[in-house]
Amino acid sequence: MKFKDYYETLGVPRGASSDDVKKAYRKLAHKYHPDITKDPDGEEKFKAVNEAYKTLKDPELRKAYDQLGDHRSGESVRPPPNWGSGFGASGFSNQSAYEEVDLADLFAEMARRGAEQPSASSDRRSQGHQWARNGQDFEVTAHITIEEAAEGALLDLNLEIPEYDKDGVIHRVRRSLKARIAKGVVDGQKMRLPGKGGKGLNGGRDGDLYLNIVLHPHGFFRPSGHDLYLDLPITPWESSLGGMVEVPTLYGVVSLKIPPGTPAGKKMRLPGKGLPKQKEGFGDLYVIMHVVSPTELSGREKDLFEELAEISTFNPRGHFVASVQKK
Amino acid sequence: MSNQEAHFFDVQLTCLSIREFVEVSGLDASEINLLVELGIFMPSGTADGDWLFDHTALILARRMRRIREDFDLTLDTNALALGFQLLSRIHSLEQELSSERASRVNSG
Repeated sequence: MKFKDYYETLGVPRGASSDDVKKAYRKLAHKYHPDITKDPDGEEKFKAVNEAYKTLKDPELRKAYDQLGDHRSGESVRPPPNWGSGFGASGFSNQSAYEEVDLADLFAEMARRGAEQPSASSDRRSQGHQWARNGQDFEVTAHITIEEAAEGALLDLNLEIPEYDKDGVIHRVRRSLKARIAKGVVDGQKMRLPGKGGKGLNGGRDGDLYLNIVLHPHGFFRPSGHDLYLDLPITPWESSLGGMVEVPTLYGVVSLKIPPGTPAGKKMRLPGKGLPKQKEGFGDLYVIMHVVSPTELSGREKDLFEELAEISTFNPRGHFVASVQKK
Repeated sequence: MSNQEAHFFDVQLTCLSIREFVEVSGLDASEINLLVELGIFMPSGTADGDWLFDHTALILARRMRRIREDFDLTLDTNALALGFQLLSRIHSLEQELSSERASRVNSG
């Protein structure tokens, strides 16, 4: 298994007191916890900090970790013989069983065994009682398109879920799952799949799988719950004179009547053209007018614009001048 | 070690019974009752026997559970209720912000 330097992660020396370890953890937790931090990498950083603290805060786990020796992070290590036997492990005689074990999973399992035997002496721990182990919960993010959210989607999930082998050692097991998502999901939705997480052991219940739904950015629709927003480019003459324009929706192109004198930024609602809702009905599509002027003009177009500039009394900056003049 | 066996299943939209909600949230039934009374959770159904909690409740509950565990917090009922109210407010603001961003014209 690959070594991780937990002391380095927490920024404390190997001989740090438990108080210093706790202080270091709290400081880093306040800095990187995903519910507090502004750091975009906070979640990953907190995961490492949390993993380190869970091992170093427990005196027996810390002792077991220290027995692995001082190594560089990423270095392959093998536990010494009889390492961890105080946690009821079946022994480390078969050291090759730990080639694919993640250090964090291993210490998490040792912590669970310790917690499930609250009054255990070291003798009792080493008797290898077959305690029921609940399977681990597992969380995965599924990226889907807006079209898939509208129609429903079939997802191929390839996961590595921590599961127990017959000796009760945790390994990451690759599992392929096909999940059919009903239409009606929205960006940020969290779905629970009971019993689809890690398998339990000795009668323990299977863990749950949590699916976080994230919608891929779309070329022109922006989702907000079940509603969609679309910037509709229109010409200055369409804005002033009105007209019929074609608008894309998830369900095909529709014609929209723009009234004369439609300003930039005006929102027009197309009811029921948003995303489908869970039980029945649909969200709406909001079309936001975005007036776009041509940047290249033919000779005739230029003449017409110059004529309009000459005769028009329209001044969109009139209120700026009036405001300055008041002073 | 790998297990390439494919599993196929339907994912239903979140709808948790109170028993399931107790399991995922780490709260007990009396705490959940209090939070429903305060309007922090708004399950469908008429009585706690047939309450169903949706995905928003699940998100809040998982978030609070994570905070309590990660910061080793022991919260009395009042502190718990306040914590949930703040989280609920943050969640609403995040949704408002997301909606506001979606409804703003993209000039880029």
